[in-house]
Amino acid sequence: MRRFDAPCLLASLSRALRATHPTDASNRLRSRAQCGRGLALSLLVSTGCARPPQEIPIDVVQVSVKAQDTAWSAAYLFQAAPGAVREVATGREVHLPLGANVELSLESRDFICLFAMPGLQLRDFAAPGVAGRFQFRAERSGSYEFRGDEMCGLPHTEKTRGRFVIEEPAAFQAWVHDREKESR
Amino acid sequence: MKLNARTIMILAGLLAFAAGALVVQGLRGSTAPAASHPPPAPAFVQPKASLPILATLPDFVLENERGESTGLTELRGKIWIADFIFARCGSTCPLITAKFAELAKQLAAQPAQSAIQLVSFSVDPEFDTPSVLAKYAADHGADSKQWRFLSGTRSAVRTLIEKGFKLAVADGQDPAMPVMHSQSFLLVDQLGRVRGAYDSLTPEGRADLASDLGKLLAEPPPNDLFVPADLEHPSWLAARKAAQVAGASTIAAAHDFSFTDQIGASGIAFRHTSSIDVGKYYRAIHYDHGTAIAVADVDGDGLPDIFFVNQIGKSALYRNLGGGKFEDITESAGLAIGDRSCVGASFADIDNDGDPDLFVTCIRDGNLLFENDGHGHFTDITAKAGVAGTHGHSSGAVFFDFDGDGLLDLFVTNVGQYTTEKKREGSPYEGVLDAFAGHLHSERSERSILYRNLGGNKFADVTESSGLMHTAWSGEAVAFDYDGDGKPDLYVLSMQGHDELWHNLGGGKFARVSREIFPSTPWGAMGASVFDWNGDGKLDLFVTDMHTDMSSELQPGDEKKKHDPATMFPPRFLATDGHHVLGNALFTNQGGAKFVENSDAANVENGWPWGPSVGDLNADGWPDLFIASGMNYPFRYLGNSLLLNEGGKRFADAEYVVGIEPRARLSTPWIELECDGADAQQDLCRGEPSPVMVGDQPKPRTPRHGHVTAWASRASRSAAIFDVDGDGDLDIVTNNYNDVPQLFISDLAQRHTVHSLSLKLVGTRSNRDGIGAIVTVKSGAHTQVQLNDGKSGYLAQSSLPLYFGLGDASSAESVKVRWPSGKEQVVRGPFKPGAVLRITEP
Repeated sequence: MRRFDAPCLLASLSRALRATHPTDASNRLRSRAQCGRGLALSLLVSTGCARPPQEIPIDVVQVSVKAQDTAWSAAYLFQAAPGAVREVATGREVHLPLGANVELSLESRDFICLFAMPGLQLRDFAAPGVAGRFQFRAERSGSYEFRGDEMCGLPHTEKTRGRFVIEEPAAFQAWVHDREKESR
Repeated sequence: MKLNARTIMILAGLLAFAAGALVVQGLRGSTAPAASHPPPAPAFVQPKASLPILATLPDFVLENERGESTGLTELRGKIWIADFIFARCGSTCPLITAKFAELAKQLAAQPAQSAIQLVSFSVDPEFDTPSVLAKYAADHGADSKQWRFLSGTRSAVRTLIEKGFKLAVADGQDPAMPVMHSQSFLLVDQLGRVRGAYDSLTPEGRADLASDLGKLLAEPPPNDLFVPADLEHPSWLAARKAAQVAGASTIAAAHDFSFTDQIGASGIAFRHTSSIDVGKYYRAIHYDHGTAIAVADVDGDGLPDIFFVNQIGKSALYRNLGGGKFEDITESAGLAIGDRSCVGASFADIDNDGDPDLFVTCIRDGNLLFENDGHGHFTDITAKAGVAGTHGHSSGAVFFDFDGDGLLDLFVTNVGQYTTEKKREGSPYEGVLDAFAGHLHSERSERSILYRNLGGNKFADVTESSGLMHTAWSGEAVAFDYDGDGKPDLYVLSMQGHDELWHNLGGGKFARVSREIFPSTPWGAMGASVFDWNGDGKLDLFVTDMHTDMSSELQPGDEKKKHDPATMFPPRFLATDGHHVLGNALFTNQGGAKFVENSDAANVENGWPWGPSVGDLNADGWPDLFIASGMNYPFRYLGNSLLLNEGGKRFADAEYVVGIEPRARLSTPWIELECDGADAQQDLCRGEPSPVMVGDQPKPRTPRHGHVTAWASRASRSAAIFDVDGDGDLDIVTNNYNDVPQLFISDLAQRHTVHSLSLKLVGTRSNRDGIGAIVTVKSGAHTQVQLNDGKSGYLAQSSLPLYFGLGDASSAESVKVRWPSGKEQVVRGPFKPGAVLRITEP
């Protein structure tokens, strides 16, 4: 198993956060269109800096979850080379390898979005300029539903519902590779 | 020569039809060929252009022959035909009505036309009471499912005919006689648009009507979209009503009386209009918090008048004519505020000259202060007084005399920046997208303002020197002496955070003592009332909490429960110490500046509350609660709460028992879209099933076409309780969001002998209104205490007499007043029920 390269992942996270600027909107809109209007879940997968993408680390997984127009999307951080981040759309399903330490960030470009995943006892929100950070360990395999509501506004349940799936590392690797293929 | 009805009708018919025909022909000449000779239309051409739009009716409410308030909202979605008649008319009307009756039969005989409604408007409202019209309907064989009769006040009907239907009207020489009017039949489409006018008394006119009716029926009908889908008939409503009514016998408070919404008969034609930011360009924003209703006798005639605050367009002042009738005096009173979006209204006598002056809070464009000349004429003295504010997002304003100098000072809450500076049509200022996260951005906060009244109608901003530096997201406050030290303190609500209590130290200084006195408060507080709910002589504090109900979907059946902590807003969003009452709070005063929160034991939790109003609705000597509640688009219907006080032990839910709920129609048109035109890219036109989606899977989208009306739940924001019709019992007036108001008239006095006492305080050393006085009334073994704080509901202060129900007591023995000056005054009776006492400070 590859070891987690913390400086590399932090750099990747920083790049992913910068990618939430409006100039990135066209990419996001395209990915949204692939998965139905207003809804896409994309993953940036970290396999460790300067390592081939197929070698996916499973000890630490970073997922950046972002909201726009009350819809969530997400990103693992995967860096094949310094400064290069790959984005892989996966709908609204985020797979995680059993045993991984998961680092989750929440952001929003426009509205306030609540993010609730009762199965993992997560309840937080995203709003512009107010980012959130979580860490949890993927200890129990299973499927964990999440949903987000806009505060005092539209539930938008269809656009914001999704799930995290915690599974064996091999299945996780296959899932990510399939998503990578889809994104090409 | 005195005109009789026949002469008037003939003149009216000639005048009005000629004018109407001119209007019709003028419009048609420019838009379409004459209706009687339409060119043959190719099959592929949409026929919609063949009928012009002569007028678009305003959202009116009148009274039908059953005494029900009903209007355009109830007619929306239907094609209908109007005529204008009056029951005592002996000449033309019978002919018009006979032709209308013929038309009714013809329509009923054809399945395709059987849903078309007929509506006869009375032009003789003073005479044509519901019972007169009901008899008239029966005499002409009108089927109430097809043919309704509407009346109202003379001015309301006249305005509707003239400015709504665009028909010529005139008053005859005898003011008691009907409004001169048209003999036309008018064809109105599903959207309330007049599509044709036809002479009812000529075969040609009626033939044109039949022809145009066919064309209208051939038009693609507008599409109605109810959000949520079960809006018109929510599954829980009937069971809720049935359960409450079935359990009414267990209510330990008088409940054998009822309210009827008589707005249609009142002459009140005010219609609240909301920002487009909560409509077509929907976003969650504080615009949806609504606006105030404030009440005061502005002209000194002894009758309380009503001021409705509007969000878009003009606010309105209605003069009380007595007997539940009102007239619009906004313009003549000098209160035609329409150039800014306003929120709150507070009546108070700022110059101790014996009349109520008016302060109005607004968004960004400055607040307004009007001085009353004693006759209901107001002059804008904002600039001179120095109270325009900081051009922020002002909300509730509270007059109280914090320094005890006998002049009413003013605290103005500022919410925070929830709009941008960008202006657009339909919304004075475009809202920010994340308004309810504003409390997480210090740069968006707006300090509330404390003004000291200097006398001579001048105020000074003493916020900094007083130490009352309040920057929370606050929209409302109440002033009361929580610790009994004789000085009024200030409890300031926060709609996104902890409420704050500011202790009046004297010497013009305040200190924050919030968590020491109230360790836990609601997080999303909207309105508050100070009253002695349990009869122990100490003033308690009731706070409503709306935002907590928005932290997750409030399911039917959960309205009476505190919110589940597991689904409350996440701590990072609360941005507080996390100690909150997860819903309404009833802080019961234990004495010694100690309060116990017992809202659940007292049963005062409810769903989506805004403003609480307190009054002894059954006159039994115990204060009851009306809580304006509910949300609109795109949430489910909820309705208002009415809670009857069970002898100070708890409150009983009674809104269904006493006729407050449910509304006759639960929804109102909210968003109008042209899906084949300018709005084609709007979400709903692009085929979203509704903004509230159910299920986990994307659904195929089918774009919508034509005109789409999205309907939303009706909901109130604010209310005032007072004796509207002067019959001795208390009535309720609401200000409903993006809707017409309700005027709930109680029949308590008609069903029972009401024992009550009304008190008007006149301060001398204290402020003239006696704001801050505590009044104790003894009647038999019962003692009642009220704070004279003017708080009548949400975002408002009113100037009203204090009303004490006396229950079965035959008299009140004494009245004790503790004036703001500290002076105690006891006035000994006995005072007979029905007495109106004017008590002047010695």
